[in-house]
Amino acid sequence: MKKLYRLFWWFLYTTGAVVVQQLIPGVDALMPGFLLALQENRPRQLMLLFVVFTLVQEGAGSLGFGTAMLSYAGAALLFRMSHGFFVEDNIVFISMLSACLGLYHCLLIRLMCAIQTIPVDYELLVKESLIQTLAIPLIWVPAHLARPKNAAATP
Amino acid sequence: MFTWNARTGYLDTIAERSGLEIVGYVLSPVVWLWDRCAGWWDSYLALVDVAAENARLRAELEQSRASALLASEDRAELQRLRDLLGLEALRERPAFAARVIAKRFGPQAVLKTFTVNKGFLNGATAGTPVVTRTGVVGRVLRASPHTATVLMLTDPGFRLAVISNESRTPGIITGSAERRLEVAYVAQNARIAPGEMLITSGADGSFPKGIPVGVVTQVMPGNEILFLQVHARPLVDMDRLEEVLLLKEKSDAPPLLPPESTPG
Repeated sequence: MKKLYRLFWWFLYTTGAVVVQQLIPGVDALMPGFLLALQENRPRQLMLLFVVFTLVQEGAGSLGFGTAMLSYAGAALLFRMSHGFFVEDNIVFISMLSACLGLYHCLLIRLMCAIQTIPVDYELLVKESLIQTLAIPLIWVPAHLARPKNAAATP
Repeated sequence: MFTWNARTGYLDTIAERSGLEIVGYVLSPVVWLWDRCAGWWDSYLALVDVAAENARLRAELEQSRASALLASEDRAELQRLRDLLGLEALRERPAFAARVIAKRFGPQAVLKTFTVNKGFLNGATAGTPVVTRTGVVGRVLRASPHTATVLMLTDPGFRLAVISNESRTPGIITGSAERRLEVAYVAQNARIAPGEMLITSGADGSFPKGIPVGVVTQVMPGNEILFLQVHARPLVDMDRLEEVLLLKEKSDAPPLLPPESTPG
């Protein structure tokens, strides 16, 4: 029953995030959910969300396959590298992580566009990276509060 | 993995047919609901303000009558242009309408794109021309069964063979980082002038000939010796797109517009 509820929660989150992405072009509203899953540390849940979120972003985006995968893998790496130093379900930690992810997004898109010889609108890219930096904590807070309290895996 | 996918396209196909489809399934009902709510709200507001609206409309009608009398010359010119262009392509090629459900969706929407609620099961495959009654909008970039992503005419990566309708100057139209269009490979001695309409030449095989694309705004000597530097503006307002038409390949299906009756 709990499993089913968790699945339903993630279904609702993904639906809401897709709607947010429609309203704010260029924003990854699924990323705060992925950070929540990293905090909960359930390997199967994390892997499922990684696959679903990657497919959604890759399928709806306009770059060749690989950018969303690198984006979520980079987020996981940054999270693992830094979570030992901070309290991981703290808004300050999430804000710092989102700043790093905003910068990472900017560099990643630039790299992938260079590989695929796609011209980049740098002004728009920087603007959207900044919006992304602000959006992550703003989405993470309500999602974190709405998450069931016993959702985190027991060590 | 990246180079393997670039060669085979398997992962792109999987992502298109799953991820893009999920987005379509989520957004189509949301947009439908939004349209209904907006329609209901408009109706409600119209009811509330009906008296004031009537008075305003009467005043507008009087003003419009006066404007219509003054604009007879413009109307005649418009009729001539319509006769000239006629959007014959819409009579020749079957077309189907699609609703725009998102614009530049997600963090990887680097290209100027939008998402529509029709996919390859409806006939929207990669390369399918996308137009409105005003002119060219773009072409389908990728498609899932019921959803598709459209590359806009204004994207720097978009290319389309065009011809000007008066001097018959050919060129290749491309988007740019700014909002204008650029017409490449226009010969230095071409007689193209600002104000000329650019229409599809049909040379690329996907777009039928004669669909309006844009209007020439500037003609300058180019940096290269061989070609002129020509700028244009698109006819379609890309920021206000709600519905578009997708042109199918020629088939036995009935066209969107009935063929004009021939005299006699």
